[in-house]
Amino acid sequence: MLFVLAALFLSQQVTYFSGMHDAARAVDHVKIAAWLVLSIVLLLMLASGGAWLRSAEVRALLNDEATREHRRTGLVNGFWAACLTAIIIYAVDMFEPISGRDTVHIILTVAIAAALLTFARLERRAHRDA
Amino acid sequence: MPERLANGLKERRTELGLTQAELAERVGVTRKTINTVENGVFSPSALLAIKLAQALSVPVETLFWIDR
Repeated sequence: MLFVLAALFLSQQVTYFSGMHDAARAVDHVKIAAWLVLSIVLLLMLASGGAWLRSAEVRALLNDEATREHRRTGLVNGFWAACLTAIIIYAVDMFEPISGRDTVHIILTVAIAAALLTFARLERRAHRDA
Repeated sequence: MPERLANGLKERRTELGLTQAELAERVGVTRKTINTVENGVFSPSALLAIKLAQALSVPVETLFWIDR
């Protein structure tokens, strides 16, 4: 499920960056809004553990010690991915100017994807041989 | 050589005839967490280590030790 979410999130970015995009066009408003909503949902899920429709007891069980550790590791990796991406964009911008909006978009996308993929990988490993 | 927290969780659990799911229920975690502790993938907190020792009726230092 987590890998599917990550794939969906990344494929959304391919659609966005593959064509010409401009915040002034109505169609790009929709694309940007969709990306922003999904980004916020994924960030909230990574921060809180998700399972919002379950009872507090079930949420506490799903969010046990190992899961919290996996989420923490995911968020740490997301932070480093964001920092490295920012450095790369800073360097690339000297030769090929990148807009502020695209910079934010790329950094946020890479950070969320790195955190989500790390979390998904650790959870899958934990379930293996169980 | 780095120090590692080793455990005899699987041996003790098997000795008592418990499944991972049953032990998980006793300590209030998921089976996944029991699995990761048993495999040495995840080092539990002191709180969880004590809960596991209590659930398996052994002193915590018998269940967990430092592997050098």
